[in-house]
Amino acid sequence: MASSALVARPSLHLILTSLLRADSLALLKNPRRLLLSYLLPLLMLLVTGSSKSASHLGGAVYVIGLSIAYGLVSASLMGYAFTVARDRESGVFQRLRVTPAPAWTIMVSRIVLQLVSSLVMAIVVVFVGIQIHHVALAADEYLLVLAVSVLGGAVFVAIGQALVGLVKSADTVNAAGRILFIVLILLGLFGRSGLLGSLWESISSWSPVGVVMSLYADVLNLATWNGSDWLSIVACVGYLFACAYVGIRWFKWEAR
Amino acid sequence: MTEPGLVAGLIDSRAVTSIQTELWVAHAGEALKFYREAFGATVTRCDGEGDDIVAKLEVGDACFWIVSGNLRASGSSGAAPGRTSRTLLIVDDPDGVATRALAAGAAAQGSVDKTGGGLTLGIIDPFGHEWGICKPRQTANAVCSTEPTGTGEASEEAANQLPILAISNLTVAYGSTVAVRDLNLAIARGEIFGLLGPNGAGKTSTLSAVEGLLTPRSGTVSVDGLSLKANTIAAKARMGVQLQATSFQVELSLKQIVRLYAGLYGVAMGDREILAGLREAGLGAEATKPFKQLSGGQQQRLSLFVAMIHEPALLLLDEPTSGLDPQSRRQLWTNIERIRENGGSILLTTHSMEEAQAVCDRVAIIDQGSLLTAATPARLIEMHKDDPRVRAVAHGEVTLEDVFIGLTGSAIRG
Repeated sequence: MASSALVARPSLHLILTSLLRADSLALLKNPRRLLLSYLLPLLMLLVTGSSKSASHLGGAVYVIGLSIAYGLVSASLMGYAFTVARDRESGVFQRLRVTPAPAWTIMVSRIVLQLVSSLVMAIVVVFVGIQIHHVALAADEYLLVLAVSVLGGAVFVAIGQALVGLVKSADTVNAAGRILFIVLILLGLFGRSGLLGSLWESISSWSPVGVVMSLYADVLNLATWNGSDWLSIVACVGYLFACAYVGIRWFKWEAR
Repeated sequence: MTEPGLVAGLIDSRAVTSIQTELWVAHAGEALKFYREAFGATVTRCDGEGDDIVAKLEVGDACFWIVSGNLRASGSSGAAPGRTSRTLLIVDDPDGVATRALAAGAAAQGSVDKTGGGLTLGIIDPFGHEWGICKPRQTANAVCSTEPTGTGEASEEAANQLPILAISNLTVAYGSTVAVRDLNLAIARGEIFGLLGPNGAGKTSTLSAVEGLLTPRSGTVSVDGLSLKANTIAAKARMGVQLQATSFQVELSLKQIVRLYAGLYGVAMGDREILAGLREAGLGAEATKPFKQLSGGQQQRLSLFVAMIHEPALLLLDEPTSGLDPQSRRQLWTNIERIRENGGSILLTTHSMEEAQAVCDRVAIIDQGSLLTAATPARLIEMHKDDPRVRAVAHGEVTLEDVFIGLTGSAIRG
């Protein structure tokens, strides 16, 4: 063993780099998370490939927005949240916390990676979406899609974080994530259609999925951008801060 | 050193003593101000490598570096060509403890204070010059005598007297349940220390507090002279930990896990070193396998390897043999023996009295969060062999297990 005089204190940069590399590898080796991120949005794009089916859901750009939003929801609620809960339950976080890595770096690495992953998913879905639906996008619209993806990704990661903050057991997080996912999907699909009445339409519009979908739809067609989109941004920021507060305030590093 | 008169004069006049007493609660910034004002020191703040080197102090021809946290053994000499200089490295000085010792050292060609226990901080001069040791804050008025200490060998000897782990008045509670009550322990360098106790006695809670996994209700933990609370990162960098339940990210291969933890401890390891290390741990063939495919024994071996990856000064092992087959257990004890031979210190918990007796230099028995007794295994038996509670459970010659059961009771714990 080395004398204490030879013990190095790792730099923050090295700690973060090591964590990000390991978390990236873990993400890439986790088929469940990749499947959840890409399967549903791409499936949705393929199913709504004809202009007729897309028009039932509000048009091509709306379908692309919907697909990305659902990709973000499934990746965050069933991918991110479950993995965090599982690693907490199995003691992965405790093992990391006894190292010199500050606790915040462990979580920041995971969150940053989830946001980057969301961004990549959004780029892929937009690319596939414009091929299938023959939508032409200007350069600024591409940039806005990326910006909305970061914001939307952050909102749903915050919701996932709130879930693991409030629920300790990995199994319960898994079950609750699925239920929440289904509720948000149904709310998004049927609420916006007006089939459930105006109240539900309004609730759907201002739900996390609703506001993110609206933003996607309007940045993919900037001509329709209006004042309610600014309110959607405010709503996103509100969801982000509220859920992040819950997720950080009540988060426990161990499941016991 | 060019101006000992100035420094000594200030100390003799007691003016500095009162300022220095204040420095026990001062922070590095205030310490620098003190040097500037009291000694007319030229203070150059440094970014250094990372945040290690805080400042360079020049008093006349003397040159000091104040180093926070990470003590590096090389590259720290600040001597300008043609000047008489010396370099002192000060380890973690959030409370200004080291600055006081530095002042005393500057005055008296090095100083040492050996009165009382609980030495917490060392100043090491890698070039074999003067050095000093200070005690914790509560005895601030008496620390750092100005008597010369003599040779570098004596310095090294005294530095080795610093406990590698000092637990002082530790109380850990979960809500209204007190798991550890006012515990005091000190583990010497090179010592293998066993913490024994029935289930729920407070062993893991004690270890968790030392590992920084939970915040104690009161009390302090110092590792290698560094307060765990004030210098968390530096203190953790000196510890290697094997938790009771081992887990790593299941998707990662062993190589990737080792690379991750090497990075977290600031150890540069290439593929070749990682493979060599894994081979030495008997995991060479599994290097590319994911963690989830390992057997229980292999997982324990990996956990021990990761715990020792940065050659820590203190190794914490929480029930390291639980779930191991005899072969793996034998290999673990061989590893522990090797650590002992290399001068490492270990704090371990175990339920096996035979193993504790065979491998530990000293053992402590705790129950219901309180320390019942601590000594060498032989001494413990000697101390308690006539205790009626021990005699009542002993069959023939008293063993460590008899002492353990005698002191903690025969009732089965949860």
